[in-house]
Amino acid sequence: MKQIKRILRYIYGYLHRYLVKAHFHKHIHKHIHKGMKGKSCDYANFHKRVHGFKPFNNDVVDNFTKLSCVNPGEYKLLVIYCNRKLKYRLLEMGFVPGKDLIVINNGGPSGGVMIKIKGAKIALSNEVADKILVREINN
Amino acid sequence: MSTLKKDIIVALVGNPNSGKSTIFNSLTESNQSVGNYPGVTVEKKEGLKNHRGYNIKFIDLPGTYSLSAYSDDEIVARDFLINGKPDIVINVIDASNIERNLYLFTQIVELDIPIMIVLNMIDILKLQGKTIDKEVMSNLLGVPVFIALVNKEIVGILDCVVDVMEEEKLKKQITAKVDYGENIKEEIDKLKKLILKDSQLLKFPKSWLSIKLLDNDPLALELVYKADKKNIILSQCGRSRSHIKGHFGREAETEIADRRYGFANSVVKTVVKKIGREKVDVTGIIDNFVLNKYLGIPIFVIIMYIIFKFAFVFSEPIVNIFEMFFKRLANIVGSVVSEESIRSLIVDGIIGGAGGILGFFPLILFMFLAIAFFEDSGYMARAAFVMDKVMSRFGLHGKSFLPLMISTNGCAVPGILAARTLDSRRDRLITMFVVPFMICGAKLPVFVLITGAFFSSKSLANIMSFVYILSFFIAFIVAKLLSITLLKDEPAHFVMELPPYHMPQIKGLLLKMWERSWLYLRKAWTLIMLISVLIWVVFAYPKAHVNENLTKSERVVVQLKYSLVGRMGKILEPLFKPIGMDANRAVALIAGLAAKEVIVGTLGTIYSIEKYDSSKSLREKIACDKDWSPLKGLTFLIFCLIYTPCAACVAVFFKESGSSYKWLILIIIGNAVFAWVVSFIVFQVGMLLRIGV
Repeated sequence: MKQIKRILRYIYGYLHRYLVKAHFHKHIHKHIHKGMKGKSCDYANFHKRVHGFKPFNNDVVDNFTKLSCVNPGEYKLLVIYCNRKLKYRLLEMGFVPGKDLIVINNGGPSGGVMIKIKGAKIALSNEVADKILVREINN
Repeated sequence: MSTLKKDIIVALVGNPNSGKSTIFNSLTESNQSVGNYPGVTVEKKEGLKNHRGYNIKFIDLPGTYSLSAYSDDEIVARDFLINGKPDIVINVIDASNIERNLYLFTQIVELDIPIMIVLNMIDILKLQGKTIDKEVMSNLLGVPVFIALVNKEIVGILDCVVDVMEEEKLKKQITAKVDYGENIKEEIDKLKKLILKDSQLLKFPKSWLSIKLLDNDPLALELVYKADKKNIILSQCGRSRSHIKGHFGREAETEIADRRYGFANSVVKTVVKKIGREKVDVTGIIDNFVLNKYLGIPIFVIIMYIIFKFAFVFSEPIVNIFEMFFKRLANIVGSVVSEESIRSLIVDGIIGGAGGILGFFPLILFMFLAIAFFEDSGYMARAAFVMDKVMSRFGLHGKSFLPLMISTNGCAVPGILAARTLDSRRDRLITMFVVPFMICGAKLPVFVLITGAFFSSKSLANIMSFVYILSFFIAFIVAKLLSITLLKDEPAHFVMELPPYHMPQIKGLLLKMWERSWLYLRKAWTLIMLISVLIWVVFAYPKAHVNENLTKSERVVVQLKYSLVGRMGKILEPLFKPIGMDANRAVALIAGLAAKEVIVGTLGTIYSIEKYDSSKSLREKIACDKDWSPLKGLTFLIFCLIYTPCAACVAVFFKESGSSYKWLILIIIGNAVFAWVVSFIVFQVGMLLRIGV
């Protein structure tokens, strides 16, 4: 019974997202595409509202974006928001907050992200990249 | 030299893709054995080597990035290092990627076991225009360093292993350890003092345990829970962690990882030197095509096609030889053994059953060879990344495509075994569950028969490809259902290293191919024998009283109707009525529970009675029969596709899922019910709309 309820809830959620919140979603997509094209992505305020983001090391952190919506280039890794298991997995692969990484390729709104960190090429799925916040390094 | 020659246990540790198995192969040559670690589906590889009178036992631990406790591989590796008491640890380091590889080294050093470093992939480092000074590295870290390229060095490694055992001085290495800084060191010392006072924790390396406690490592905490003074230690641990967090502004584990990487970075800076210009980055160029947004999936499809083509073309002659061999064998046994029932058991039961399964074996062997080639060359990681975009929508992991592929046209049993490459239990379970939905080599004849009976030869190819797509569709839907119901709580993550491309070694490929196919044979061998005998018993008993006047084929059919399977079919007929099946097909499907290749054989036996024109083939008989219609054929196909997988498959699934009865029941009954429901809907809707009646 519980499982059937879950399936129904999933289907309901799916319809809900696509029928009721269609308008809202349109706007979110606009934001993402803006970010993809290289214009400034207004995620800073969005995150502060949703997650109550506290910057690392009490620095003033602004102009940060999700790893999933950045263009190829050099970035500084700021924070990873995820469960312990994934956090350890990322830590041991070299994702230490404060370190630099290079984005080689971004697969778009639902695709994966390929990055270079500490000399190794690593592929992340979109969901994982969503949980990582980075800041662009301006040279 | 002492006269007492004792065994030396050497553990090989290293990151995934660091070429650890290549070094393992060259160290042990061919003296290897593959087993399983108890309780987990992680392979245990051991190899023996005699050197200067010592028996050196090499153990190839699974590749890990660190010694934390968040995946089976890591737990196995660290369990062995702590409890397995290896004499020496060989850390294999990928020279082109030293910084991250040294991160693992910093953790092993804390275990206080003699350690050696073997540098691998020097050629890739040279392509980057860099060189590494192994003398400086050896002095800096305080451990012997070797470069694995030439055979001379292999002897050097073995010599060093023996030297460490013989000379006490070498045993106590003074290794460079990570400097965690004043603040963390203080906290570590506080914890260390408490651990020293506890009698049960004394057997573990103290500094390692205290660092792991600061790291909030679940397995280290588990150890402490068993200790006498757990309250004091745990409260101190909490205090230390909050102190570090307050001081550095971030979690202790992040700070510790940062220090370790800092250490690794400083080592790299002193050891690696740039000598020339970077050569053309071939990996980058290939990746531009292979991982392209539009080209990625077409290239993937082409490579899969190459693998299939290769496997089919090369295995065909061997399959034919096998077939001939089994026919000959059956003839010889048939002429030698006179007793009717024993002859039938040997010829039909054992030889027939073994022949059926060994028929796939060459195909799978070549498929594994082709897969091993693409795996070792580095393409499979890219393929997983390309496929992850599609697979993750259905709750599958990118790597799941490999088991699904082995199962398509091959066999689901090695497919389920291949699911071991997945890290998390959730991904593994989902993949193993959907693998049997693929059209394996045994199901293929059923589909060819039924589609051939109802569709013209022109549209046959289209219909068959439709059936293949349908099988993938069903597998994906089931995967999605599982991921939103039973396995909802564990989300899937895709984080994967993409190693640089390189040409695989032939010896390594052959070893890999042999290991995997041997695993399949070993797992399936006894089961398949047992099942083929079982099938024979179920068909041959109880013996019917046969009328003398009947012809041979009529006698067979009478026996079939009288046998256990026939009776089961008769009993279950009402259940099969609503999905448009008669007793004949019910019998065939029940027989198919044991092995799918039996379905066509059973149908052939049933339709071999005189009533049907004997000059026609089975396909024509089915096409002409009044009991069949295109719609009934379709429901039969769909039922075949979904219902309970064969017995060998279920047994392997049960073992690989960690002997979980819940999943066993789900795959046996759940699949049958699901198949019935889907066929019911298809049949009834078809009847209502009068399509293909």
